[in-house]
Amino acid sequence: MPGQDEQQIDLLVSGVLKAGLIASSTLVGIGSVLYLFKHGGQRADYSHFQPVQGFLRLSSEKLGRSIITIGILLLVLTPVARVLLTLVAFAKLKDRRYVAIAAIVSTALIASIAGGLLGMQ
Amino acid sequence: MSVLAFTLIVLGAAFVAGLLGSLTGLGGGVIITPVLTLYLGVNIRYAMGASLISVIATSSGAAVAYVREGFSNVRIGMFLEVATTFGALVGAALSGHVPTSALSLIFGVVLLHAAWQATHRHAEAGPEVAPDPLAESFQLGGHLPGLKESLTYRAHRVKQGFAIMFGAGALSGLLGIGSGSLKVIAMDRAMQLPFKVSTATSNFMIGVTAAASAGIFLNRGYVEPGIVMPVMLGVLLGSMVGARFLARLPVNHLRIIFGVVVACVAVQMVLHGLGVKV
Repeated sequence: MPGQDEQQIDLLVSGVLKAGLIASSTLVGIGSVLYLFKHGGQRADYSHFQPVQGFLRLSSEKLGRSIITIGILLLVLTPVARVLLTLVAFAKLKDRRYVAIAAIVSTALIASIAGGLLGMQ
Repeated sequence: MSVLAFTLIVLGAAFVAGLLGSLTGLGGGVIITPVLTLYLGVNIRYAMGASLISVIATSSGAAVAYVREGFSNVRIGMFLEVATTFGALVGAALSGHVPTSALSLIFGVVLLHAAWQATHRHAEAGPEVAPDPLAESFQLGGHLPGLKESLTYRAHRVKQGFAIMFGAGALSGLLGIGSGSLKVIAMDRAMQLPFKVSTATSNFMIGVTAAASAGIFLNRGYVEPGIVMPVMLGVLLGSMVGARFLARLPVNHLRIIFGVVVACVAVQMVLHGLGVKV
């Protein structure tokens, strides 16, 4: 069943994931150095959950934490980019069934991430 | 304990989680969560957030190699993601109306049985079995790279596999778990795909399942950067190492590793059902 087209989709998916991972882990890596320099000697205590407002909470005083947060967000968006790009690839192949499948999955995925981020769930 | 020591311990545990998670297609949560809650005294909400991110990292980290080398089947993965996605929506809608502790208990017992079964090879449908028309029209098949020669395979009993995937999605929505175990079982036992294709394709899929819940976890503040940072870096490294191993690992060894890890998931689910949070 698989041919040249199939291999191209595989290479595209693999490439998108790799790019997302390099970008997100670079940010988390840089952020972690800053974070550990500042907080490495403090006591780690995560026994109590502290409710917070909003999901990004970026600030220049907490630069390390902010950079890590952006990196995590990029990691979360990597599967979304993967699904959207396969949609484009299947459209190029004029494979209507799989365009529909990719469209269903990406719509549900984006809606549930966005709904969650905006506190609609 | 200092933040530095905490970071290093979590980094090590996350590496092991990524390694096992990428090989078995189950994600890394089964190791991350108990290490954080039981050993390091981390609040369960932060542990859930870290576990969710670990699943996305394992999935993407290993899929780079699995997809390129033909272990993860993109079409089969996307096709079945329709079932898991709708299952998750139904599960989320039902949550609050279904006693989750009883459900955890039942799921745990089912998984214990599945873990035992998974360690045994079962008869695979040979070429003489008539192909499933659904597998033909949706092109659910491929080539599996082997040490000596590549193997051509196609999916059987597509409807049954799709139904189990829907159940896996519903359980994810209801219990907030990745349910990679059910995904592997659907592909291995129902659809009779090669075992390595089943675990690698499950690994490919769980990233999407987990990403769908990430918005709500981020919004509620479950994703604490100080904890997630070593989890993510460790898991990524572990999953990339695991992905290099898969091609060389004999299938019967992989089945045993899978069975042991699923048994651990099963014990966790039973404990959840009894009200112990691990």
